[in-house]
Amino acid sequence: MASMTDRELLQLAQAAVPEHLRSLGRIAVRHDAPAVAGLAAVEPAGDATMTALAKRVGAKLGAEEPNSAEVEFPEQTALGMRTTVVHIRNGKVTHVLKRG
Amino acid sequence: MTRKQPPARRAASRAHSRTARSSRRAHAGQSAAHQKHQGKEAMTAYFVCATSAVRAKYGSAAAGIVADVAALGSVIDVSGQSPEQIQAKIAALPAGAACLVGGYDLIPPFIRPNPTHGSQDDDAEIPTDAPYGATPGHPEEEYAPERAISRIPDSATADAAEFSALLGYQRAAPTQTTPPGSYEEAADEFSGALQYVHAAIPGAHGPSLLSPPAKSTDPGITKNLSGHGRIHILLHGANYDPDWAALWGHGPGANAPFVKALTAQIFDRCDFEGTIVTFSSCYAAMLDAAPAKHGARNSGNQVAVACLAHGAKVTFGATRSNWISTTSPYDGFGPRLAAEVWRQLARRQPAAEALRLAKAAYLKVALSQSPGDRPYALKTVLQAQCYGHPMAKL
Repeated sequence: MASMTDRELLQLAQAAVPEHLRSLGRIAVRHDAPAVAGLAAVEPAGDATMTALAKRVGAKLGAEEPNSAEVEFPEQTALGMRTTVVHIRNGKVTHVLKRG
Repeated sequence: MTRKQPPARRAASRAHSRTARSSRRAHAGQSAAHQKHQGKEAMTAYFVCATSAVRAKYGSAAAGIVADVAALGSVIDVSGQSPEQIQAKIAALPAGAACLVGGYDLIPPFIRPNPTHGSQDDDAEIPTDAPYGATPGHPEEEYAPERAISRIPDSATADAAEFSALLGYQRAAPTQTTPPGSYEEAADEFSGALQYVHAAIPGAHGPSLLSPPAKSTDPGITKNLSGHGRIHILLHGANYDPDWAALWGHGPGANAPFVKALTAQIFDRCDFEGTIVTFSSCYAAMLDAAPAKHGARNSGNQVAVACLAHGAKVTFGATRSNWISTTSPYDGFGPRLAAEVWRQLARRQPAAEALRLAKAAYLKVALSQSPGDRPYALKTVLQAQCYGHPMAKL
């Protein structure tokens, strides 16, 4: 699969969220490229811990996929930040998430 | 602090009388075989209590509280010990679930960095009891614990009558029948995830509401909530005073208002005796006050504690914000774990073990997906807590 540009990833994510959020979108993380400064999620656990955890629960760790990114649509609400996050994996939207 | 004392006192009084009733019911009519079975089960749970902290908090009422804790089962005294020391002590116990007794002022949680902290998630840290179920030196077990862990929290403000009544409910919990029926409610924008979890709840055929239009002032709300044995809530939660006392509905539209849908004060008027409650809501199991500098959590403003104070056998929830999928198939993260808990409960697993197994089952699937999903999956399991008797069953 050809590598998607940031613009293409953003447009894909924008199509997955309500219209009023679309202009707020920005790429938080590209998993196939260096993270945008200040926007990436923290590294959750070291490789050794992840390997041990996967073994513990019987999971085969998934491999990195091309054209994978998190696109966020920040929304400050009456209850605080409730950003919508769109997960794009292998060029497709896999999740549109909000915090409850 | 906005809590009004009179309703709390009334609630404690009602809870006391209900406790006496349920305790009599729990102990009346049991066959010798049943009592023997109950005794065998009680041996598989340890109640971890800092008795000196209980005495400091409850003063002259502490002896009664300690006696109530001892009535639950084997007490492991961890007075004066740090979380790491308590973790090591629990790890050295024979097989069995461990139940932490009291809120964070009696036994502190572990504090871990939030794996999804960043611009999209302002929760910097996660308070979690999960490491108490891990073997020291094995950080992977903090996500998929070796030992089942629960906590029976009290209010941060010392209320001996209320905590004693709550412990009375908990004493009856392992043998108490779960009432039939269900109640489910979600923010309108989370309707898909509500249905996803619904499919995993055995015997769920009660009210299923979305907010909006449902709101806290709707007539009959306490009747709808009371007496149903299976409750799942997927409303929004808040992490600051006074909004943390409520659970909020919200639609997907632009500038949609947050609607107060349920509150701890409503729970104060309900009867949850024998009920099992799962919250997929943000902050529903949050016992601390951070990031706020003021405020204390109690049954008047903390929804999980409110449910336990009114008879719930067990509640499940997250100490921080839950990630919710808003698109089909709705099977991600917080709701996925809640559904796994119900599946384990349906297999007659005791409550704390149900959460332990649910975390492992969830991670087996989640870790096999994209590496980018891992921080979200790790946050989901790290913050998920079981409050109530570890041996309570559906």
